[in-house]
Amino acid sequence: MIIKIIMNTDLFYREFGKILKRLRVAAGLTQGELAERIGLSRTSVTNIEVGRQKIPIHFLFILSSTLGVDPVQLLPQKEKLSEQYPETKGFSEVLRDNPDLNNAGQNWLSRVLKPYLTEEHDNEDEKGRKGS
Amino acid sequence: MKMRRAEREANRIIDEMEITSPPVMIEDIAKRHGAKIHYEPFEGDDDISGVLYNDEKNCIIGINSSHSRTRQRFTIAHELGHLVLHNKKFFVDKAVKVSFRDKRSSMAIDNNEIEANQFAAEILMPRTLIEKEIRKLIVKKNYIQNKELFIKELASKFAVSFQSMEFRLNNLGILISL
Repeated sequence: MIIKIIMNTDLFYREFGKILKRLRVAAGLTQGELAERIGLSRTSVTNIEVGRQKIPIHFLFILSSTLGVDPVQLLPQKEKLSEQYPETKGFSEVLRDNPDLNNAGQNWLSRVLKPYLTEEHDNEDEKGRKGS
Repeated sequence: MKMRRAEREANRIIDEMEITSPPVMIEDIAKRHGAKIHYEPFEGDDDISGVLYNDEKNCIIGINSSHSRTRQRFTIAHELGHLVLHNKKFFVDKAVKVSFRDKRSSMAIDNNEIEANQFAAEILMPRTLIEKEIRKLIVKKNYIQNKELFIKELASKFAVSFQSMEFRLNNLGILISL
Protein backbone atom coordinates (compact mmCIF):
# COMPACT_ATOMS: atom_id res chain seq x y z
CA MET A 1 0.00 0.00 0.00
CA ILE A 2 1.35 3.42 -0.88
CA ILE A 3 0.23 6.89 -0.21
CA LYS A 4 -0.07 8.72 -3.46
CA ILE A 5 1.42 12.14 -3.64
CA ILE A 6 -1.62 13.97 -4.75
CA MET A 7 -2.93 17.44 -4.62
CA ASN A 8 -5.79 17.88 -2.29
CA THR A 9 -8.10 19.85 -4.54
CA ASP A 10 -10.48 20.75 -1.75
CA LEU A 11 -7.59 22.23 0.10
CA PHE A 12 -6.44 24.06 -3.03
CA TYR A 13 -9.76 25.81 -3.44
CA ARG A 14 -10.04 26.60 0.24
CA GLU A 15 -6.58 28.15 0.18
CA PHE A 16 -7.41 29.98 -3.01
CA GLY A 17 -10.57 31.30 -1.41
CA LYS A 18 -8.70 32.57 1.62
CA ILE A 19 -6.23 34.43 -0.58
CA LEU A 20 -8.99 35.88 -2.71
CA LYS A 21 -10.79 37.12 0.36
CA ARG A 22 -7.64 38.69 1.74
CA LEU A 23 -6.87 40.46 -1.52
CA ARG A 24 -10.47 41.56 -1.99
CA VAL A 25 -10.57 43.11 1.45
CA ALA A 26 -7.20 44.72 0.80
CA ALA A 27 -8.64 46.23 -2.37
CA GLY A 28 -11.47 47.68 -0.30
CA LEU A 29 -14.20 45.73 -2.04
CA THR A 30 -17.22 43.97 -0.59
CA GLN A 31 -18.20 40.56 -1.92
CA GLY A 32 -21.10 42.23 -3.71
CA GLU A 33 -18.87 44.83 -5.34
CA LEU A 34 -16.39 42.25 -6.54
CA ALA A 35 -19.25 40.08 -7.83
CA GLU A 36 -20.63 42.98 -9.84
CA ARG A 37 -17.27 43.80 -11.41
CA ILE A 38 -16.55 40.27 -12.54
CA GLY A 39 -20.12 39.45 -13.55
CA LEU A 40 -20.90 36.82 -10.92
CA SER A 41 -23.52 36.71 -8.20
CA ARG A 42 -22.54 37.61 -4.67
CA THR A 43 -23.34 34.05 -3.64
CA SER A 44 -20.79 32.78 -6.13
CA VAL A 45 -18.13 35.01 -4.64
CA THR A 46 -19.05 33.78 -1.18
CA ASN A 47 -18.80 30.20 -2.37
CA ILE A 48 -15.47 30.79 -4.08
CA GLU A 49 -14.07 32.35 -0.93
CA VAL A 50 -14.93 29.31 1.18
CA GLY A 51 -13.68 26.91 -1.49
CA ARG A 52 -17.06 25.51 -2.41
CA GLN A 53 -17.06 26.82 -5.95
CA LYS A 54 -14.24 25.99 -8.33
CA ILE A 55 -13.52 28.70 -10.83
CA PRO A 56 -12.40 28.26 -14.47
CA ILE A 57 -8.79 29.21 -15.13
CA HIS A 58 -9.56 32.40 -17.09
CA PHE A 59 -11.20 33.81 -13.98
CA LEU A 60 -7.77 33.95 -12.45
CA PHE A 61 -6.98 36.78 -14.88
CA ILE A 62 -10.32 38.49 -14.47
CA LEU A 63 -9.95 38.41 -10.70
CA SER A 64 -6.33 39.52 -10.66
CA SER A 65 -6.91 42.46 -12.97
CA THR A 66 -9.99 43.49 -11.02
CA LEU A 67 -8.04 43.36 -7.79
CA GLY A 68 -4.97 44.97 -9.33
CA VAL A 69 -2.64 42.10 -8.50
CA ASP A 70 -0.49 39.64 -10.39
CA PRO A 71 -2.37 36.38 -11.12
CA VAL A 72 0.35 34.45 -9.30
CA GLN A 73 -0.52 36.26 -6.11
CA LEU A 74 -3.87 34.53 -6.09
CA LEU A 75 -2.32 31.08 -6.14
CA PRO A 76 -1.72 29.12 -2.95
CA GLN A 77 1.78 28.11 -1.93
CA LYS A 78 2.72 24.78 -3.45
CA GLU A 79 4.13 23.49 -0.15
CA LYS A 80 0.72 23.85 1.38
CA LEU A 81 -0.85 21.59 -1.19
CA SER A 82 1.41 18.79 -2.35
CA GLU A 83 1.38 16.76 0.78
CA GLN A 84 0.85 13.11 1.33
CA TYR A 85 -2.87 12.73 1.49
CA PRO A 86 -4.75 9.50 1.66
CA GLU A 87 -7.68 9.67 -0.67
CA THR A 88 -10.27 8.13 1.57
CA LYS A 89 -13.32 10.17 2.25
CA GLY A 90 -12.93 9.71 5.94
CA PHE A 91 -9.54 11.25 5.94
CA SER A 92 -10.45 14.37 4.04
CA GLU A 93 -13.30 14.82 6.47
CA VAL A 94 -10.79 14.55 9.27
CA LEU A 95 -8.69 17.30 7.75
CA ARG A 96 -11.70 19.46 7.20
CA ASP A 97 -12.59 19.13 10.85
CA ASN A 98 -9.10 20.10 11.92
CA PRO A 99 -8.08 23.10 9.84
CA ASP A 100 -5.46 24.13 12.38
CA LEU A 101 -3.16 21.20 11.65
CA ASN A 102 0.11 22.04 9.95
CA ASN A 103 1.78 19.81 7.38
CA ALA A 104 3.71 17.79 9.92
CA GLY A 105 0.51 17.19 11.83
CA GLN A 106 -1.34 16.18 8.69
CA ASN A 107 1.44 13.80 7.72
CA TRP A 108 1.46 12.25 11.14
CA LEU A 109 -2.29 11.84 11.04
CA SER A 110 -2.04 10.31 7.62
CA ARG A 111 0.49 7.74 8.85
CA VAL A 112 -1.71 6.89 11.80
CA LEU A 113 -5.04 6.60 10.04
CA LYS A 114 -4.11 5.54 6.54
CA PRO A 115 -3.67 1.82 7.32
CA TYR A 116 -7.15 1.66 8.75
CA LEU A 117 -9.14 3.97 6.56
CA THR A 118 -7.98 2.69 3.18
CA GLU A 119 -10.61 0.63 1.54
CA GLU A 120 -9.05 0.08 -1.84
CA HIS A 121 -5.49 -1.11 -2.11
CA ASP A 122 -3.16 0.46 -4.58
CA ASN A 123 -2.54 -2.07 -7.31
CA GLU A 124 0.82 -0.75 -8.44
CA ASP A 125 2.26 -1.23 -5.04
CA GLU A 126 0.88 -4.72 -4.78
CA LYS A 127 2.66 -5.79 -7.97
CA GLY A 128 5.19 -8.51 -7.33
CA ARG A 129 3.96 -8.95 -3.84
CA LYS A 130 0.80 -10.84 -4.66
CA GLY A 131 -0.10 -13.57 -2.26
CA SER A 132 2.01 -12.11 0.49
CA MET B 1 -21.46 18.20 37.01
CA LYS B 2 -19.39 17.19 33.99
CA MET B 3 -16.44 16.42 36.20
CA ARG B 4 -18.57 13.99 38.14
CA ARG B 5 -19.41 12.10 34.97
CA ALA B 6 -15.74 11.66 34.12
CA GLU B 7 -15.08 10.35 37.59
CA ARG B 8 -18.08 8.04 37.53
CA GLU B 9 -17.20 6.51 34.17
CA ALA B 10 -13.57 6.00 35.10
CA ASN B 11 -14.55 4.30 38.35
CA ARG B 12 -17.09 2.13 36.60
CA ILE B 13 -14.39 0.85 34.25
CA ILE B 14 -11.94 0.26 37.08
CA ASP B 15 -14.61 -1.77 38.90
CA GLU B 16 -15.75 -3.66 35.82
CA MET B 17 -12.25 -4.70 34.90
CA GLU B 18 -11.51 -5.57 38.49
CA ILE B 19 -8.39 -3.48 38.65
CA THR B 20 -7.05 -3.68 42.17
CA SER B 21 -3.43 -2.66 41.85
CA PRO B 22 -1.35 -0.18 39.87
CA PRO B 23 -0.20 0.43 37.23
CA VAL B 24 -3.57 0.53 35.48
CA MET B 25 -3.26 -1.33 32.19
CA ILE B 26 -4.66 1.49 30.14
CA GLU B 27 -3.83 0.00 26.76
CA ASP B 28 -5.75 -3.18 27.56
CA ILE B 29 -8.68 -1.13 28.77
CA ALA B 30 -8.73 0.91 25.58
CA LYS B 31 -8.59 -2.27 23.50
CA ARG B 32 -11.45 -3.72 25.50
CA HIS B 33 -13.42 -0.67 24.48
CA GLY B 34 -12.84 -1.53 20.86
CA ALA B 35 -10.02 0.87 20.12
CA LYS B 36 -7.07 -0.08 17.98
CA ILE B 37 -3.95 1.59 19.25
CA HIS B 38 -1.45 2.84 16.74
CA TYR B 39 1.94 4.14 17.84
CA GLU B 40 3.56 6.60 15.51
CA PRO B 41 6.54 8.85 16.17
CA PHE B 42 5.96 12.51 15.47
CA GLU B 43 8.66 15.02 14.82
CA GLY B 44 7.49 18.49 14.11
CA ASP B 45 6.68 21.87 15.48
CA ASP B 46 3.19 20.92 16.52
CA ASP B 47 2.94 19.13 19.77
CA ILE B 48 0.41 16.46 18.97
CA SER B 49 0.05 13.82 21.64
CA GLY B 50 -2.59 11.65 20.14
CA VAL B 51 -5.74 11.29 18.16
CA LEU B 52 -9.03 9.52 18.47
CA TYR B 53 -10.74 8.58 15.28
CA ASN B 54 -14.15 7.10 15.72
CA ASP B 55 -16.62 6.28 13.00
CA GLU B 56 -19.03 3.40 12.58
CA LYS B 57 -16.32 1.12 11.21
CA ASN B 58 -13.10 2.17 12.89
CA CYS B 59 -12.04 3.22 16.31
CA ILE B 60 -8.41 4.20 16.33
CA ILE B 61 -6.33 5.79 19.00
CA GLY B 62 -3.14 7.19 17.53
CA ILE B 63 -0.35 7.86 19.95
CA ASN B 64 2.71 10.00 19.46
CA SER B 65 5.37 7.46 20.34
CA SER B 66 8.09 10.11 20.48
CA HIS B 67 6.77 11.06 23.88
CA SER B 68 7.74 9.44 27.16
CA ARG B 69 5.98 6.28 28.24
CA THR B 70 4.10 8.02 31.02
CA ARG B 71 2.91 10.70 28.65
CA GLN B 72 1.82 8.09 26.11
CA ARG B 73 -0.17 6.37 28.82
CA PHE B 74 -1.83 9.62 29.75
CA THR B 75 -2.65 10.25 26.09
CA ILE B 76 -4.27 6.81 25.71
CA ALA B 77 -6.33 7.51 28.82
CA HIS B 78 -7.28 10.95 27.51
CA GLU B 79 -8.40 9.58 24.13
CA LEU B 80 -10.28 6.79 25.85
CA GLY B 81 -12.02 9.51 27.83
CA HIS B 82 -13.21 11.09 24.59
CA LEU B 83 -14.38 7.69 23.41
CA VAL B 84 -16.27 6.87 26.59
CA LEU B 85 -17.63 10.31 27.41
CA HIS B 86 -18.08 12.00 24.08
CA ASN B 87 -19.00 9.01 22.08
CA LYS B 88 -22.72 8.68 21.81
CA LYS B 89 -23.46 11.41 19.36
CA PHE B 90 -21.08 9.95 16.84
CA PHE B 91 -23.11 6.82 16.60
CA VAL B 92 -26.32 8.73 16.30
CA ASP B 93 -24.93 11.08 13.72
CA LYS B 94 -22.79 8.44 12.00
CA ALA B 95 -20.28 11.22 11.79
CA VAL B 96 -16.53 11.10 11.78
CA LYS B 97 -14.95 12.80 14.70
CA VAL B 98 -11.38 13.36 15.63
CA SER B 99 -10.14 14.78 18.85
CA PHE B 100 -6.59 15.87 19.27
CA ARG B 101 -4.56 16.10 22.33
CA ASP B 102 -2.18 18.96 21.76
CA LYS B 103 -0.90 22.03 23.56
CA ARG B 104 -4.36 23.50 23.70
CA SER B 105 -5.93 20.53 25.43
CA SER B 106 -3.19 20.17 27.98
CA MET B 107 -4.01 23.74 28.87
CA ALA B 108 -7.54 22.42 29.08
CA ILE B 109 -9.41 25.06 27.18
CA ASP B 110 -12.53 23.44 25.91
CA ASN B 111 -14.97 21.47 28.00
CA ASN B 112 -14.50 18.09 26.36
CA GLU B 113 -10.76 18.43 26.82
CA ILE B 114 -11.11 19.25 30.48
CA GLU B 115 -13.37 16.27 30.90
CA ALA B 116 -11.04 13.93 29.02
CA ASN B 117 -8.11 15.07 31.15
CA GLN B 118 -10.15 14.54 34.26
CA PHE B 119 -11.12 11.08 33.08
CA ALA B 120 -7.47 10.27 32.34
CA ALA B 121 -6.38 11.28 35.83
CA GLU B 122 -9.22 9.30 37.39
CA ILE B 123 -8.59 6.12 35.48
CA LEU B 124 -4.80 6.14 35.75
CA MET B 125 -4.82 7.18 39.39
CA PRO B 126 -8.08 5.96 40.95
CA ARG B 127 -8.68 7.41 44.37
CA THR B 128 -9.16 4.02 46.02
CA LEU B 129 -5.90 2.63 44.61
CA ILE B 130 -3.99 5.77 45.57
CA GLU B 131 -5.26 5.57 49.11
CA LYS B 132 -4.35 1.90 49.25
CA GLU B 133 -0.82 2.53 48.03
CA ILE B 134 -0.36 5.42 50.41
CA ARG B 135 -1.36 3.22 53.31
CA LYS B 136 1.26 0.69 52.23
CA LEU B 137 3.91 3.39 51.94
CA ILE B 138 3.12 4.72 55.36
CA VAL B 139 3.42 1.30 56.89
CA LYS B 140 6.64 0.45 55.07
CA LYS B 141 8.64 3.63 55.24
CA ASN B 142 8.44 7.07 56.57
CA TYR B 143 7.84 8.64 53.16
CA ILE B 144 5.45 11.18 54.55
CA GLN B 145 8.44 13.21 55.69
CA ASN B 146 9.74 13.66 52.16
CA LYS B 147 7.18 15.06 49.76
CA GLU B 148 9.32 14.65 46.65
CA LEU B 149 10.15 11.05 47.37
CA PHE B 150 6.57 10.31 48.27
CA ILE B 151 5.26 11.65 44.96
CA LYS B 152 8.04 9.99 43.02
CA GLU B 153 7.34 6.59 44.53
CA LEU B 154 3.61 6.85 43.83
CA ALA B 155 4.23 8.14 40.30
CA SER B 156 6.43 5.18 39.52
CA LYS B 157 3.91 2.70 40.95
CA PHE B 158 1.14 4.14 38.80
CA ALA B 159 3.40 4.71 35.77
CA VAL B 160 2.48 8.35 35.49
CA SER B 161 4.65 11.44 35.45
CA PHE B 162 5.72 13.16 38.63
CA GLN B 163 3.67 16.20 37.60
CA SER B 164 0.52 14.16 36.99
CA MET B 165 0.80 12.51 40.37
CA GLU B 166 1.49 15.75 42.16
CA PHE B 167 -1.48 17.38 40.49
CA ARG B 168 -3.69 14.42 41.31
CA LEU B 169 -2.66 14.33 44.96
CA ASN B 170 -3.35 18.02 45.25
CA ASN B 171 -6.73 17.53 43.62
CA LEU B 172 -7.62 14.73 45.98
CA GLY B 173 -6.66 16.92 48.90
CA ILE B 174 -3.98 14.48 49.96
CA LEU B 175 -1.05 16.84 49.64
CA ILE B 176 -2.35 19.86 51.46
CA SER B 177 -0.92 18.91 54.80
CA LEU B 178 2.53 18.25 53.40
